Amino acid sequence: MPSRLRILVLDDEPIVCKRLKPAFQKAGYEVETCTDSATALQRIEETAFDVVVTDLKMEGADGLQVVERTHQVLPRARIVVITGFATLDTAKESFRKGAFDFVAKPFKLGDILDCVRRIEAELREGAERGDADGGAGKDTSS
Amino acid sequence: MWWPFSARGGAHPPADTRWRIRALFQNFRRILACNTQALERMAEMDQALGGAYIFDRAFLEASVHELARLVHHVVYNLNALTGNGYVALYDRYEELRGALGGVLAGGMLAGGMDGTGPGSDTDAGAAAGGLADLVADVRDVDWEQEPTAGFEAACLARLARHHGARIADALVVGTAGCAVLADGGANADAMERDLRDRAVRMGGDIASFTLRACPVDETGRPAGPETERTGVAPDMLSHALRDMLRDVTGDADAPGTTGSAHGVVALIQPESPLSVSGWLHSHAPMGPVRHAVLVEARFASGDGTKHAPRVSTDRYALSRVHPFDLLCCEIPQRAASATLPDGREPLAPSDALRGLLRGSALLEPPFPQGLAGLAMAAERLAGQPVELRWGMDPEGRCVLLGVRPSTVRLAEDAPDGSDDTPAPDASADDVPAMHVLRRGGQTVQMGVAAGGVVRLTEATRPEDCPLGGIGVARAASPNLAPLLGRLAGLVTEFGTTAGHLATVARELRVPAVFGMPGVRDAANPGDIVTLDAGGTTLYRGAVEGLLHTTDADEDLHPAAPEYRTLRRLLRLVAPLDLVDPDAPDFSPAGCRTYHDILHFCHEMSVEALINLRDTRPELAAPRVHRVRLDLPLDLRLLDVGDGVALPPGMAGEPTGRDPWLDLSAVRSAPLLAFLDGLRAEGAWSHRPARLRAGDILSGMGDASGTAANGAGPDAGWAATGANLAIAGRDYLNLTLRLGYHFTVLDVLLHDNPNRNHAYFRFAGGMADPARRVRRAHLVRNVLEELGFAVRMRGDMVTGRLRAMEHAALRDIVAALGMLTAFTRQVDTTLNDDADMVRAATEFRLLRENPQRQARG
Repeated sequence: MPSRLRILVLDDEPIVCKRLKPAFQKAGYEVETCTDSATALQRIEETAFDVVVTDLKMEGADGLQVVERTHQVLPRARIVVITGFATLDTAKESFRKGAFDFVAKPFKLGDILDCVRRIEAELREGAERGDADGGAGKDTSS
Repeated sequence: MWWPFSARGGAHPPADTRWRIRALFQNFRRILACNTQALERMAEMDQALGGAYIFDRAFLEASVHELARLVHHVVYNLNALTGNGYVALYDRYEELRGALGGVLAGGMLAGGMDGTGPGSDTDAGAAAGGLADLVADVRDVDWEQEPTAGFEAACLARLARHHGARIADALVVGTAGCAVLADGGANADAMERDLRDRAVRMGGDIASFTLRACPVDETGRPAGPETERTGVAPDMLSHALRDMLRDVTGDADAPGTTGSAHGVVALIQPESPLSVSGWLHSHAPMGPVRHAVLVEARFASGDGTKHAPRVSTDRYALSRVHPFDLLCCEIPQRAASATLPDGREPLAPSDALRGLLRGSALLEPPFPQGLAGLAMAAERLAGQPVELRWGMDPEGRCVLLGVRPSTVRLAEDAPDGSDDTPAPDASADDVPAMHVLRRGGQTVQMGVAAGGVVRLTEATRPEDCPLGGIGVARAASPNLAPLLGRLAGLVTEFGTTAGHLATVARELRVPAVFGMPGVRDAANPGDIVTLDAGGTTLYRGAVEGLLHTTDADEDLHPAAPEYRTLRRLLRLVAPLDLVDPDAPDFSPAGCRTYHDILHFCHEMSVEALINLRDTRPELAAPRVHRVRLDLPLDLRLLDVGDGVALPPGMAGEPTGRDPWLDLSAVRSAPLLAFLDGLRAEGAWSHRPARLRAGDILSGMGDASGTAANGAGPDAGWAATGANLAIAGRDYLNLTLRLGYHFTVLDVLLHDNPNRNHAYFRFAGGMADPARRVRRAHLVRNVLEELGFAVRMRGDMVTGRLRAMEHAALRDIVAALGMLTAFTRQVDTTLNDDADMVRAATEFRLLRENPQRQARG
């Protein structure tokens, strides 16, 4: 894994991207943001992000499609779903499609930073162990 | 759903009306439940304003929708309880719901200087006449009016109101007013006359005015270059302003609409005499100094000599961190005979520097430092660097003439979440750990600030608090609120993010963290520290890398639509002004916010149940008894099923006031348990010198003050102010009045442990707010020790407990009674956190002491 985690944030509400980006940067990560899922899907094909943070309900491809595609293209990437419409069903579906964590809006900055730090720690442990997928293959949906 | 009512024994209503009473009681319980949920939702919205939460528009819509649902439920249930006694509340609810919907749709609150007429709570909006919202005194402009009055007027007004700045007299012509002037017609004629009259009144002897006009975007921020005219006579104001509007818009046919401009705003200032004037840039480089407050100063007219004026400007670079040390300066040569602003000449001996001459600098400390402090306050309000236009009056005092957002950015950030943002100068991870003084607590208002540590107590006066310092206090007392305008940041060891001080910190955008442990030990007065409120960390020294990320910070920007919308929503939701049940405006018409409605309904529901027998005689409701206690507590008891065993002759008493009932007649197990704890001698006697029971319980609704012996006159008694116990054999719903909030206990004490539950809500009280917060922490700790699942929002603590054995739950209910008495006694003695810890220990010992004796 790279020295600095690469994070992609996808949310169709600009305020979320605008606030998450400097927060992640301040924590020492490289960050890209997208406000439409088409651009995000394109960037996922082009760049090996370590973490993808995505909203669920959006125009065009919704968050679950992004989760699914990310899981296919970047199997080592961890996916964090953020949504204001959190239900047990959407959470289950997110995990089934490969999400690492599920955060309901509104959330505290510290909560999502903690989430990404956990991911970072796991990825580093996986890299040290020499896991090909950084430990991404394990079942996190339970 | 479980019902606490029983048909066995006692004096009960007829079977055919019992179900109706049950329904009324359920109405009451729903009011309590919805009230609590709504207060929690409001606290969440308030905290979101401080930037601690990432939220989106869906959150705002969901919050408003949920609050509307809860408030409607409360109104509905109160009307069901009172036989539609408060139908007018539906109107208030609908008005507020409509206003909230309007805000969500992008509208402003009333009185927005948008030409829709008066109606705000500001002086400008409340002024009579149709022009009142077109022209306003700058001091009356509310922050809410920024989109139509412009950033400059809104910011100046705030600096004057909260930060102690002297601002120049000025009239503001908002976007609607400028449009009226530019359009011409009858309204324009009337407005011209009004403008001239007001300007003359404002200017007094001053016969010339400066006019400034600036296009603004939809947020009220400048959207183009400003135009200025000086020396305008009162009679020419309108004419000059029209000319300027044409210049600004560039198109006389479409005034106020050019490019991204949403409209034009104008400022009209009398030209008061000034000795020195200039600009200040809150963040600008100067020479080798990259980050500095740059003050430019020049003679307001001439150069201080009798000779021909020559432009000569002083430039001072000051640290952006309190105490705003002078870093470097450029002072041009001036004639030795020049008269400087202090009336002296350059070769006069210096008062401050013995043995040296005064020199030719126009400004001397602490004048530029005071300016820098105001600039940093304006920068916090704006959410970005600013430029201040200032002057020095003949008495040597600073006067702010104008303010605008700076074109200099601390770190260029991209709009709309696009991806061309460079990384900030430094991340928190780049700061050496050795610089960390303390971590922890809760973010109240995001942001980074640095400055000298100022120890604050409730006795600290604003004038003793240096402008731009970092306040460090023990607790987040609301009494510190007047100091916030002086501070660059605030950190406390204790406090709630939902309290009054937190609300003010968010309103003033002062970075703040409450609950940082041990911060007073770590930060000594005068130490320079950096507070990263978002990271809940206090650093030693001024951490440049953090300070200069402000512009690209994760903070919720004050110009962001979501921020403005949330702030407007909260104004219609959160303030509670309707607190006195005896006040003339304590009525549905007096409810101005959702919080007012909720509180009004709660008060009226308690009163309705107490008076049920009189107000709803058709229900043949059980009589409410006054319980004879050896405490001065006006407790009314509504028996809903075997809660009372009436002595012969009392049952069916036809009329008259609520009869007294001896405690021996009470059969309700949970009420007896609670009273046992409440009356426990130990709860009162462990500190006999501090307060007497009578003093303490005076806040619990003993309106007559004669209830202690149960023999006082009934004259003057009013139901409002009484406490209500709705009790059955196994059930208790108790409402105790503490200050203007209620403490609520709802408990089922049954033989079957799986059915048992206890709910305890504790809020408000009679003590001052700081002690209430400490008491809330004390209550939370005790509830947790008792096994409750506890939630704390502001000074409201709620605890829930389920499935307890009868004996264990009985002890817990008794403990809650004891806790109620105990906290009432100690609340006036919780002067500091050590007192709080000591009180918790004392209460623990009290519970463990089996020798405690009940009264009576």
